[in-house]
Amino acid sequence: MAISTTPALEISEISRRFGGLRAIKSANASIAQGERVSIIGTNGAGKSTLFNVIAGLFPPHSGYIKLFGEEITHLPPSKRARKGLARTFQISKLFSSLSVIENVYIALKQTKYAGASLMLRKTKGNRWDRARELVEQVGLASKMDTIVDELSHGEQRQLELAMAMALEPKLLMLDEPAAGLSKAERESLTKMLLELDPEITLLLIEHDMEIALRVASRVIVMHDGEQVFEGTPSEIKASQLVRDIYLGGSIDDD
Amino acid sequence: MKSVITWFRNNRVLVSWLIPVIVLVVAIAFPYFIMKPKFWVPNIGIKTIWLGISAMSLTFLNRYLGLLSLAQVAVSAMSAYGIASAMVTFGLDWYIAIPIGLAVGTLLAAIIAIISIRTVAIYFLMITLAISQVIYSWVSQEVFVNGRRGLAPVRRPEFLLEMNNFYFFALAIAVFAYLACRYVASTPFGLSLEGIKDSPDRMRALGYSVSKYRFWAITFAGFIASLAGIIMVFDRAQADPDIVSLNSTLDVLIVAVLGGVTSIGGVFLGGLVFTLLDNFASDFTDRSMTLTGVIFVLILLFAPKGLTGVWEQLKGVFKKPSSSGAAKDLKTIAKEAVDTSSAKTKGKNQ
Repeated sequence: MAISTTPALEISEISRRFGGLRAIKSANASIAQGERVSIIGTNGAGKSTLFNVIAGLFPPHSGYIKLFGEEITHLPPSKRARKGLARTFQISKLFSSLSVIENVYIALKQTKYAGASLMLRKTKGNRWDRARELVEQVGLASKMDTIVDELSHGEQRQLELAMAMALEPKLLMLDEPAAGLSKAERESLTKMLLELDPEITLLLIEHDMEIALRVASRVIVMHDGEQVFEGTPSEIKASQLVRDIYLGGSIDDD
Repeated sequence: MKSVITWFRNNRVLVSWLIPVIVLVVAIAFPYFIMKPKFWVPNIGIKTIWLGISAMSLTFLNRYLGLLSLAQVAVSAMSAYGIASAMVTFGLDWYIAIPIGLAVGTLLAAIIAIISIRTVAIYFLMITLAISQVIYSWVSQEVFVNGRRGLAPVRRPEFLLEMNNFYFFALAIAVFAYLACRYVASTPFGLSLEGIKDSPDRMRALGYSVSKYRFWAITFAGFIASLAGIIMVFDRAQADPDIVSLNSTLDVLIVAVLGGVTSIGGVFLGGLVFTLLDNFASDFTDRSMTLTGVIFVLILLFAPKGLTGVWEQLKGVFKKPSSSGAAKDLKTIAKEAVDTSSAKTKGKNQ
């Protein structure tokens, strides 16, 4: 397996304001292919904003974003998805009136215009088999035909992950996947993330330190719209600065 | 009895065709079993059909795309105008005029789609309403379509002069429109539309170009609405601004709501109730509009999903809680209890 030296994701001098609020002051990062990176920080640190800028929900006010060496700063989300970027949503945006399997079926990577096909929909075939496989992988086999509205919160998070995986992403971005999960559900989520195909690059935004540190090989700490620290999980654990941020201590600007 | 119920459960696809087929059989027999066909066939039968098809295009957009459009009547009317000007102004034959009408209506729908594609919910409703009002004032003043007087007479082709023939012609168009809607809904394209209805953001994140899908869905619904225009123009024998007026728009909206705006076939039930009220309310009272209004309000209050939703409501009332469902619930409860207790012990260990 030859890993190219082009970074999977490169962001440079990214800034984003909301009115007078500078949500991100200047973000720089380069993530290698197959690398597992977590971005952590307290509420309002700017991590969700950064996430959405990378996913294309809104454009940055300065800087550029490159995906596998190709600039995507101004592409709409749908084109980014076709270039291999998959994301999950923190607030569930599933297809609530469709069944679990139908949700994953829609999410399957598009062969050109498959979603626009006017051939009668089959209930069998390769695409359905693939969808079924993904549902089983995330542990929802018994809920295959359940309407999404009737799933529990935890199950919806599992489905989120199956749908992101259905895109066969090269870069997978997870937006607080553990939010609202029970202890047992967190455990199985962590296990699932650790078992991910090593070729997939993972960018994780997480409030929960435990998962963020266990899954990632590198952690970026954000505070007040800026990156304040970067290091391996053990360096993060040892850092006085990170402890101060999370415990609400004051930090100096330098 | 029990085996009948299981049969129904195991043959959902077949059952979903059962009611449409029964309705079709009744509709075919209709001109032969009524007392005064000269009154009933045109005033109830044919009118129900074209109101229903126009409402069907509205219902399709609402059911599969989650957009409520008030421009569908304008699309039907422009298709009618297309046919009328081809026949009256240019003296063309009906078989050339009908494709022209369909093309005019569908093209208008495509233009409406381009204008409104980035709006949703109340804004989409307002834009489509505004467009239909613009068209209304335009046809009222435009010399080419003879302004307020409209284009007349639009003569029915020879083979449709007999009222029953015209009725069956309309019925055939209705069947075609219904099948077209159900077919599109059961393709991957239809499933993608439902995805867009539930979560456009997610569809974008999955690589779908939401605007393109919306465009084609609105254009398709416009084609369905244009089909209604064919029957409309031959039924009225003219095309005049009244068919684009706010009143006509509201009539079709009422038909769609009565039928239940999520049921493709229900629109014909809505159309039937509407035309019956329209024709007979005045027999009971001088205030016929009041009676119509009161009935409309009552239906909205007691059958919020429309008349076709009543069946679902009744099923809900008589359905016993299924035992398997209860067992499942217990299972989840037990699982959750285990989860929380293991979480607690873990917490203690730390």
